[in-house]
Amino acid sequence: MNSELKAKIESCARTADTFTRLYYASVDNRRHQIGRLYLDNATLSWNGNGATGREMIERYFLELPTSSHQMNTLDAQPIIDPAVANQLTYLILASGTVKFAHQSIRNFQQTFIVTADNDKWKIASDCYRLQEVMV
Amino acid sequence: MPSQMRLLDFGDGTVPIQLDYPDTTIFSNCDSYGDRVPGSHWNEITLHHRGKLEYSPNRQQIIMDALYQAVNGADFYPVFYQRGSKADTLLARNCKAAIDNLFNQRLTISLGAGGSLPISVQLGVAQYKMNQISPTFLIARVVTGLMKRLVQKDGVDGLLDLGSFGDHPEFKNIVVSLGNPCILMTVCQVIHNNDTERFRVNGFILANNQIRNVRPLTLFANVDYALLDLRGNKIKSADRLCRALEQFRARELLLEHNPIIRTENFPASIRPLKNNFTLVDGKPFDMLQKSFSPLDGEIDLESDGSRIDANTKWKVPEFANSPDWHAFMIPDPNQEFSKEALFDFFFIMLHPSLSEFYPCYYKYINTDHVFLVRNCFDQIEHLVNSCNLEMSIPPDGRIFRYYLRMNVSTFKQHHVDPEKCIQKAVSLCYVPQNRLLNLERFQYNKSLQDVVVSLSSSKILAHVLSVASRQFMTTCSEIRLCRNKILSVEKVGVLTQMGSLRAVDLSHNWVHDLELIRFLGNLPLKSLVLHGNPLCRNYSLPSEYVRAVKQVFPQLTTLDGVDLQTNPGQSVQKNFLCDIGAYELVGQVFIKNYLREFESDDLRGDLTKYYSDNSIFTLTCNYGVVQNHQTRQILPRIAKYNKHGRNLYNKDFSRASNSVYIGTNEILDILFQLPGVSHDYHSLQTDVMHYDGKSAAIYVTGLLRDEPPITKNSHGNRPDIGGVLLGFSRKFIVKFDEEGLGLGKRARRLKITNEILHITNPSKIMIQNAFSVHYPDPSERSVEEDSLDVKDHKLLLFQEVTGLISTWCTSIVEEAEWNFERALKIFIQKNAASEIPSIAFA
Repeated sequence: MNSELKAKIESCARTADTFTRLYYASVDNRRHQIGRLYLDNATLSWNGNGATGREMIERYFLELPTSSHQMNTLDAQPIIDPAVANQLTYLILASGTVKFAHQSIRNFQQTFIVTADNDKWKIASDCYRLQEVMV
Repeated sequence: MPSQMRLLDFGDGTVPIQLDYPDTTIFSNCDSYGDRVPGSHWNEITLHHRGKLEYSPNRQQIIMDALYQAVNGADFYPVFYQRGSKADTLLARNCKAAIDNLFNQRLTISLGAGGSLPISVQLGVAQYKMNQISPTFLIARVVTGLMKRLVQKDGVDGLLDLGSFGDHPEFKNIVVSLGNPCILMTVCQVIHNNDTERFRVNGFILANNQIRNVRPLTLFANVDYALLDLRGNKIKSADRLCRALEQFRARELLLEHNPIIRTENFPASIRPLKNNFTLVDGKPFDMLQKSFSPLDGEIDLESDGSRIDANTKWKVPEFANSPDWHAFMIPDPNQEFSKEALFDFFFIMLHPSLSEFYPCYYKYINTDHVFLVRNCFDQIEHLVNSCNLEMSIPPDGRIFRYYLRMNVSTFKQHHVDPEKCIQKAVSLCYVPQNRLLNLERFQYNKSLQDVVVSLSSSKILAHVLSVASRQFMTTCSEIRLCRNKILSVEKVGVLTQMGSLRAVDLSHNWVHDLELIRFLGNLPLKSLVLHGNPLCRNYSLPSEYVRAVKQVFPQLTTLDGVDLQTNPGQSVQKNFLCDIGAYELVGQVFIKNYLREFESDDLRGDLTKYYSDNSIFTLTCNYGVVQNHQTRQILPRIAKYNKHGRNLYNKDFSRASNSVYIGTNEILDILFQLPGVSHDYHSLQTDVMHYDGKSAAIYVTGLLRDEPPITKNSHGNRPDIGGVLLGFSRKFIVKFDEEGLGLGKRARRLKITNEILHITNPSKIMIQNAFSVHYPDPSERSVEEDSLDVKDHKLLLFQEVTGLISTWCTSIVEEAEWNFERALKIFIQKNAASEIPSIAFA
């Protein structure tokens, strides 16, 4: 692996770590501000239910019960596209457990594609999948 | 073995058979009965099916059919068929030739499809006495009785009804099938020898009798009968059929539901019978092709009928009361429109409240789309006077002019009748077990081959539904109307009479607004499916959509398969597609193929094709091992994933690039080190989060079974816990290669740029339902529809090979039902018969 790629992977890992901490803090504690983390034309699939655009995604989240996420694993890769070489885009997978309102604790996994928008990281797409009750 | 003494008293006045088995020799697997003689006494034949045919609904029929084949036409009248769990038995006498034939085959009969069945024979198990049960006598009595009660069918009377002959109640103690050549011969002789009644017989119904050979019908040579009904038999050899019927004459021959229909040379193979029958299965002999159309020869579009175009519009009223066929001629020299597209546009012009319009016998001839209609003068008048015989094609409003040829042909009996076709099609769609009327893609119903029944016309839809409600008024509880281009559902008051109707599926139609189906709100529906309709796009959030639908359908408990009791928009949807264009990626084109190839030891190497030198692969494992009796076995299995895995959470980022695999070689190396697995295809949930034709983000989650490693012989310790169920997900970022060149240029190649594999604990529900639904391996599938891409590909390939222009390619490949090999055969045949004109070649 060349050092350039190595550096990219390391910086991708750092971003993923910072970003997911921010994300779960927002979704659990500051739900009304969650829209800020999404691009204007972002796509959300929440257990297969779609919402497109920052405004719709915001509205979708406001209808969900309160949540409390605990992350267990994190993986991230830079998406290298020679066509847009300057645009930094990362694929991030977080998994862990979540408790919604009065429901029992369940496994979740969430896959983001985040991209640098000016100086901030924004979500281009967000795919959330929840599992039923743990064994 | 039934070797004790028994008395068989059939209670029908015949002398009982006393089974005492004086000769204890039981022959099996041998070719000679030595010095014994199968004389006139009863012999017992035992058929050792060993329970293998337990699940076939007609075991006796299968076995007997095999037995008739084996005795090869020799006299053989079995009685007293007894079913047993391991073996069935029967008795027969006076059948030396038949028994000789069985011994010639070493007492093994072939069941077809490669199976065989051992039999054993015990000779002289009971002494024959006068007035014991006699199959020939019973058969003669039944046939004589039937000859006194000739029947009428479809307006033809004097028919001798021998349909399902073996089911006659008088035959309860003997085994009668006209598939047994000697019984068919007996029956024919009884008829032939009945000098008083024979002359009244005007035709024969021999339907549903397992008959393979009708040779005994030679007895009825040189008489002009009205009908010979051979439907539902096993006639396959055209050669034998032609020889048997060489001198047999009837107005009509019915051959439907015989294997011969599906043979390659049919109907050419029965041409020797051309002078013996006027009609075959309702069609004139000359026009007996796979599909008959009066446009193939019966009608001359140059000269028949009167032409109506923009200049001769004034002539239209002349045809106001014509019951004849009228031809629509729509010039499209470059064949820009498929049949489907043509009718999509055409139906827009029709007037919604005028007559139902059923185009028949559609065909593209030379430069025109041609179809025939009748009994819709008001629509024709509307098309001529209000639409000016013009069709405007969206989006740019291009105008297509067309013309008509009125009265091109009278209606003949063998022509298609849309009304009858609809009735037949509807009855074919009913699934009584589920009380379901499945009208999905109604146009594809095989009864509608010759007629276009467009449910986009609400009047036609209402008509089809009224036919349905008349047939299934009280029973039907669900109607599926998916994929029918339905625009609205109106005036279907008949549905209120279907008292049990609780569910309607309207998915994948063209309904733009809930108002257009408001009528259905009058029904007490519990379940409604609307997804795949443009109206769904009127709502940006699931909760808004659910609220709007519930206003129209207040009693609904399920919408789009989702229980409305749960919070709207938060129940789990199996699949998410950001763009319908990506549909095929989650199926055979990518996801399913990838998973199949990963599963198979032989194919995993084929995955190379998906990777490039820049592909990145990582793996995370979030499997918490629970302490129990299996822990010791599970730990090493999970370790195989952890070994190559990474986890960035709370880790030192300077080591982030460990366990990141770059490029085809490294990735394949890892993939080969991962254990063998089987995926539960039913468990898969897919999300396509991005698709723009150049790249896509595709995620799949589900259940897999980590298969135990195959133990080598040198190691004695076999794995003792079998497969371990694991939750998995794979995240792919893929990009598509630029379109290629040459053969298959439209098939795009797909490369994975990023891939994440994630292993986790399966949920309780996943474990409960694990592998409960069997998904056939695509390589085993035979007749499943090809995807559009695959079809495209086949067409291109066919074009390349044959050098035909695309319309000819399409027609031949469609005729071959997209079977490439068959298409080539058809091409070679047609070409050899000079049926392909030179303009067909590019």
